[in-house]
Amino acid sequence: MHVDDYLVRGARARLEEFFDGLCKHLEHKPPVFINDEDEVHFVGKRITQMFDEDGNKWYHLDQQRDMDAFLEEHGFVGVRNVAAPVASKALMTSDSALLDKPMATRYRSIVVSLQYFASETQWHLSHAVARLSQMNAAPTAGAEKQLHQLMGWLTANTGRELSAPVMQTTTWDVYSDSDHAGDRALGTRSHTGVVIVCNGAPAQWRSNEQPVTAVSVRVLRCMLLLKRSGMQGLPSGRQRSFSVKCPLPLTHKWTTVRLQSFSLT
Amino acid sequence: MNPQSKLKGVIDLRWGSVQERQDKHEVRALKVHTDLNVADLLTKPHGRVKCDSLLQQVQESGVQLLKEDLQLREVEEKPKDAGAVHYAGFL
Repeated sequence: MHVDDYLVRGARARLEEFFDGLCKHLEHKPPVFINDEDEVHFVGKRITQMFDEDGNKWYHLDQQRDMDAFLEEHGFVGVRNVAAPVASKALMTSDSALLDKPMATRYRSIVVSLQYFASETQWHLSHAVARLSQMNAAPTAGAEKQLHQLMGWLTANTGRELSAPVMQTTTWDVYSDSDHAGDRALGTRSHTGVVIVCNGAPAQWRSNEQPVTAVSVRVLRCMLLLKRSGMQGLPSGRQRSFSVKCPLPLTHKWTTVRLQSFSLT
Repeated sequence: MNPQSKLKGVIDLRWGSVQERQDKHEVRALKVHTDLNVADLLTKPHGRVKCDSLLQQVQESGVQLLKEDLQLREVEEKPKDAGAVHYAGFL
């Protein structure tokens, strides 16, 4: 096994004991402990600990450093702030002229980076990024405008983070929604969104175009339920960060549900 | 179904699994108004007001849950007879 990053959780005394033992077997940098002064940077994410005015401990997870570097690299510094990541669905289809090859490559590169941020901490960008990804094969000038709008929004929102308080109880809230073919300009397939919120922090989320056109609302609801039930527990890293375990015996990874199976049941 | 059954994989049991969880009260389905449905952010474009409102809702839900958790802790820490009403009298 080859490992270069690890995150360990436990009481301070036990952690020190663990690292002392580890030193005897492996060479490694001195560990960084999360406390009021120190923060941990783990696989591109910053983990911090803060106390609110009542003395309750909160953990925060963000990618501000990486996002600032990303925006600077692509020249999106000091741009005008925009109202929302996707204020209008018409912008994407406003200009169907195809981008030239270098511009299309740049478009894809930026969208892939945005996908990474949207999948790690910037959950609210998932829908915008999913729409932009649909144009990856042949990006248009309209898609480029939409991308610029999203980047403009991001410049003022790099500080958005996932934060959760330390509590004895763990509460899970699952929200699901679908637009039921509400974006006709991009096709008749519906777009589904699911967010699992753990103690007030989004822990798992998806925003996907459905693989088929649903023939009724009932089938759509069935699909949502199955997708929810098929959703895996938290990614282990995120689970550790917030010191929680998924209580539900959730099954395998996110599976694409075949519509045919519904008609049999 | 018998785990050794040849029908395994033919019949989709995932739908049954959802029903089972609901029967065991592991999962509770509730209707949420569209203005309060956080997943709305992942399905449709929104203007500033709705976008900010939903993001704010997620942020505030942590604070609300923390309050409930603290109340629960207070109840648990209280001695069993602390809140009990004692009666005295002659029978």
